[in-house]
Amino acid sequence: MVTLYWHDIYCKFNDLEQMVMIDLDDICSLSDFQRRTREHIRRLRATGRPEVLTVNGRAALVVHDAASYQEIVNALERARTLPAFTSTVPDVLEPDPVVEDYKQHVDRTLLRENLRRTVEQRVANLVALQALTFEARRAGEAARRRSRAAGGGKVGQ
Amino acid sequence: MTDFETLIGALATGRVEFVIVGGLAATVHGSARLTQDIDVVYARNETNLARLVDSLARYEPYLRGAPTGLPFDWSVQTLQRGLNFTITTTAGDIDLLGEITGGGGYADLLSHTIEIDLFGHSCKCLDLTWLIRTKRAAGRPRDFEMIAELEALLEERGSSDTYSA
Repeated sequence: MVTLYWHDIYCKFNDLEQMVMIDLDDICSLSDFQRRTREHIRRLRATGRPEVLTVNGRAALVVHDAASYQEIVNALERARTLPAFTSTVPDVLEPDPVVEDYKQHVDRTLLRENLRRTVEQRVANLVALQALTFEARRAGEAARRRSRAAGGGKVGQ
Repeated sequence: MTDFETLIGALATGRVEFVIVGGLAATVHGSARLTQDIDVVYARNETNLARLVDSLARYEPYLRGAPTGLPFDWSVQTLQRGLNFTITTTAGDIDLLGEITGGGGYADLLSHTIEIDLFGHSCKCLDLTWLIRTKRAAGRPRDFEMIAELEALLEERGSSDTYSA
């Protein structure tokens, strides 16, 4: 699997940004482009940057030389297919100091018990635990209702 | 209360392509924590969406937390217009995820799953290492305790990803 880190992704988008960046010098009128077409084509090929052509002072067209246009298409395609979701996931699980701190308080006796059980037994325990939680909540709510009905005294936490 | 057996059974018998992730996957791997819903990553192809719609339709899926009475059309078109759906049904809560952070979609996760037998159905479940990876990538503070527990499970089990029941 290809793993791309933020640095790689940044570089790819940076390249793309360079390719599509428009300089103020790259803006000209359509009539100027028509008048000096050869000169503009030389510039497009030399810089690889697009030119914005204006009509009545407003941007109307963007012209690119074929090679750099293809590079942009390729770069966009690479960006589109980037497995970005892997970018934050290192290949090796490096210890995380916060998680390591939490880990000290994990009750491993429960885990060892569970590891001795089958998947079916683990899920059955979950279902039973869920039923217990549901019943405890129901009992708590019933107690609070009774308490309110009896005059609003507090029921324990 | 979520009826795990009913919902998993509905998906499995409806031949829905899905991977169990989240709290239920953690339970499968030995977590002692309680989870109250089912999280699955489902394949987004049209055939699978149709199967998903058919298999859950009888449980009256509705957007969890949404005010009652809102028009919600449980259909392939609705699933195509969204990606991740938190759904409540008459059999309990289920999160239908098109993608998860750090893991991607169904096809991306397939090679990181184990085959388990759950309520008599063969199901795919995200393996322990990738469950940890995706939880880490999500970066939610509330997941720290679970990540710590999952990493402790990995240590207790040895670093091998090979699953042993």
